[in-house]
Amino acid sequence: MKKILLAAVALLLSASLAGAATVTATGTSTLSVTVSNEASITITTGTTTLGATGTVFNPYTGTTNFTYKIRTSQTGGSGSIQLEVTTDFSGTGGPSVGSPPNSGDALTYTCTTASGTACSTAQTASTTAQSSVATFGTDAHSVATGGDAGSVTWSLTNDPKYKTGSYSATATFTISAT
Amino acid sequence: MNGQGMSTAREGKLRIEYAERYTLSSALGSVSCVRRPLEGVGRLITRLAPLVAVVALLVAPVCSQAQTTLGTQTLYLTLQNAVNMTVSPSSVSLTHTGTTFSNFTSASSITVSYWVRTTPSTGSGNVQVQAAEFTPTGTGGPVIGSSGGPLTYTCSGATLGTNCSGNQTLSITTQTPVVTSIPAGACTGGGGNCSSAIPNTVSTSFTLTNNPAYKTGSYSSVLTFTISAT
Repeated sequence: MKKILLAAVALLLSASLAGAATVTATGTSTLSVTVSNEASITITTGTTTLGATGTVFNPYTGTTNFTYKIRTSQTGGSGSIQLEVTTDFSGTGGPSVGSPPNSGDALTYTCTTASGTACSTAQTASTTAQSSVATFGTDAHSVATGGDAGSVTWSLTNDPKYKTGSYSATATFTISAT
Repeated sequence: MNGQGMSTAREGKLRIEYAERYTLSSALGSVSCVRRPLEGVGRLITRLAPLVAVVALLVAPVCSQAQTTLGTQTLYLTLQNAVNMTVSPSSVSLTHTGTTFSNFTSASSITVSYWVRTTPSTGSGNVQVQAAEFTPTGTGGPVIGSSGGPLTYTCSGATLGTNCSGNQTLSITTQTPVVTSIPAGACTGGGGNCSSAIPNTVSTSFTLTNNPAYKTGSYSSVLTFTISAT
């Protein structure tokens, strides 16, 4: 009888202690994401002033900076940054990309980019076609968190034939990725 | 109700001399019960004990007139701390629209439904979440890691306890809060000291940084929600 009582007390005690134990339950859900090719570009130099320095009739030069992000596909992907003069220099008698006063007049540029392959030689800007700034291969990625940096340094022929005055043009940069 | 007699024979030995039939009628139908003399019942139980037991159990609830109070018994019930939960939906896509390289966000929130009972005075409870690493691993996709990873979440609308505040960063090594401060003596449903909501719920929404360094492809991570209570 004593043993039965002890067993009962022990049982009650264990039940009481069990009530203080932590109980848990779980549930799950799966997050899925598909990462695709993507690209973006931000022109950080909103207005670039072309100025001539040094010897007279040296070309007008200036630099446009930009940042870009790019991710190309792991298989068969590629990418590019290109530019086109979408609005030619305004006014008459001044410089012109589409209709230069002389055949030797041109707006050219050189390129730098933190990733990919920047244009290796001076490119001539056009009002009718895009020209290359940089190219990217398969599985290419920009590195920096805020985007990789790049720049285009312009050079505009300083033709004595240009009439004095202020002129402006708009260049449009396009980045793409597949 | 009528008192018409009924005779019944079992195995040719027992004979019920007298019995009363009670018929209870209602719009839903009728139920008949029989009350037999006590002297015959003893013999019937001896021979037909199993059958009597079954019939008694079946008939007892509808034949209140035949019930006899035999005694009272006190039932003791010890309710301990307890929890349960469900998570819905079972899978959610992280997508992004609009601006390039904008973050991926969950297309729908994940709702955790939970039931909880905590110990009075000393108990407490909470809901937490932990992520498993994105798979496939080691292929250039997003990496959650142990801390400071790119996967974050917010909580809203906890109907019991306090939902997490601000952006929480998921980890693959530690649990992070979803609902905290479920108080002592809390319970789900019923109002009063318990919540009025049945079950209790909390919504969670997830955001994944869209890092250009991620290689293209599909990746997934399993989130495990845990509710615990003392």
